[in-house]
Amino acid sequence: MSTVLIADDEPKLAQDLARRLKRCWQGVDIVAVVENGSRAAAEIARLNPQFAFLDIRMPGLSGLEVAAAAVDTRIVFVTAYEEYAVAAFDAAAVDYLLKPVSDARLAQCVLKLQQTAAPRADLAALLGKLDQPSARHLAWLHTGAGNTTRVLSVAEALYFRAADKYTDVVTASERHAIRISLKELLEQLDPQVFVQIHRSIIVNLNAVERIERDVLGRSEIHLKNHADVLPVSRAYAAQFRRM
Amino acid sequence: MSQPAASSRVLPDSWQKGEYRVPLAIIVVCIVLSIFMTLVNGSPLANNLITSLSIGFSQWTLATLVRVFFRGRMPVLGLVVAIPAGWVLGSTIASLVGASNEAELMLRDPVAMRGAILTTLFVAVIVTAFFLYFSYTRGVREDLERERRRAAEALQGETAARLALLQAQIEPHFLFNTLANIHALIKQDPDAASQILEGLNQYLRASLRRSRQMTATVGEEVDLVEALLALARARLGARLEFKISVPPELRATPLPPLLLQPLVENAIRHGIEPAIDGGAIEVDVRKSTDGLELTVTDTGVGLNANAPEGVGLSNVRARLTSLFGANGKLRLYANTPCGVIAKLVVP
Repeated sequence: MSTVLIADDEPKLAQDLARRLKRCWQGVDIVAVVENGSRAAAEIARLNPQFAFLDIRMPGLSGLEVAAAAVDTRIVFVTAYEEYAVAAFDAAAVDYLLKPVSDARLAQCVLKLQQTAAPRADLAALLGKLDQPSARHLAWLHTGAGNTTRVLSVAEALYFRAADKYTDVVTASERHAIRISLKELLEQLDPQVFVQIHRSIIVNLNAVERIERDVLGRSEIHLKNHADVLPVSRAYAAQFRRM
Repeated sequence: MSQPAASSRVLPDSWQKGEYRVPLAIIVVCIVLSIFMTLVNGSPLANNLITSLSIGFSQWTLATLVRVFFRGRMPVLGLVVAIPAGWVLGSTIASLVGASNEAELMLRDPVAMRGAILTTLFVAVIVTAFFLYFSYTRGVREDLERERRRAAEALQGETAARLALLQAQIEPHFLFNTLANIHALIKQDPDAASQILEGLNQYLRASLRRSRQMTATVGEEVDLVEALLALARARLGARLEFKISVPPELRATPLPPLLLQPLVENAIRHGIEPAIDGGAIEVDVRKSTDGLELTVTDTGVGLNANAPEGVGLSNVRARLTSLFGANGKLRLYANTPCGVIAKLVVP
């Protein structure tokens, strides 16, 4: 008996895969069909199936995260279209199927699962390569105004200016106060895009139109789409110039 | 970005913009004036040169200092201060080096003083006029250049946005997942399969037609997102509910493409799909005092503080700016208890 778990957040695809596996795989036992990553991880830990067919993009945990936690289960990734992923799969020697899965390709995959030993897949490397470079820099700012919470994209911010206990965010048409200090903000922002130019100012480099320097070496930043002119203080000028 | 900063280390910016022409003009004027004075009253040419140059450069230095100090915000003050003060400073220097006893003479002879002051004033005005004219034409040229660059950037942005639109409409992950669903259902439930195929057909047809036209109507846009939502619902099953409310009289209102659809796509992809229990999406179109207000509300996972803003949203924002300037607005709000409200206002 070969025990198999199937995880896909699109129920029709999961059921169809279960049906077709039963048809082309003698002695298969589908022990669980689940619809999200968290349940997949829980069921793999509980049932310890020999094989798991995992969709990559799933709510809860991604297929890659589930696979990284499953030690004794041989993983087959099932994915719709991730051109960049296919190259990474090949490099990491993992099994994968592309949706829609043809009968021939499925039969071939089953044969491989039956006849060859589990590949020594380098899942850690795969995870590092495929999991989006998100969760690194701050992307959204929440600012409260009465009962509503406004959400601003940091890309909208032209510059940040420290005020008493909060920080002013200036966009092309608005100005908001957020409850975070300039220092904390700077630590969380993408340093490729946001640069401190003054004790109390962080500027979005994409919003800079030009830098004007006078004979005494003082600099001012003029912005695109905004009339404000920002001073560059000497302490930050050197650092700023390196860019 | 790095270019002006790097090159300005060698010379101040103003020098690179051609301001060296001002001292050059001063020198030329002083030489001409000195020769003229020598021819008229026979005074030594060298003395005249030293006197006129030291006055001219004193005035220029003072004017520059005033300009630097006030960052160019007080142009008239610069001249009012620099012309007389520069004359005093310049003639003092000249008499110190012994080239002229003009200052001394002046005190004794009011007529000579008046003549000298008038001459200096005349020269200073000529040089100033030259300078103002020069910086004015340069300003005009720069404005023109900036305007041209802005127009080119806007055009480029629009082209890029339309390309992204074409790509985003037929997002491969979405397309292949939909095809996989049709494939899965084709034998088990041919009716459901043909319904999805019908929906896909409708969506692709509308997308292709729209990518060729510059304008669309609220009705067309809403039909497109309805097709998109219906396809998503077929894939996600019970995890997605949706509702669209558009007053019939607004359907004919013009609405540029690529504004509503990315918001709905984001709600599906970043709101509902990552949510274990799914959620609901509501699309609402109404007339407000600012213009047309389109709201896409979802009850999905909401915006993760660190999840980067997708190209979809930044495209919408760029397009709003290029189409309507400050009158087009996109605002996001946190929905309670969870999810996102995206509000789009077009004039």
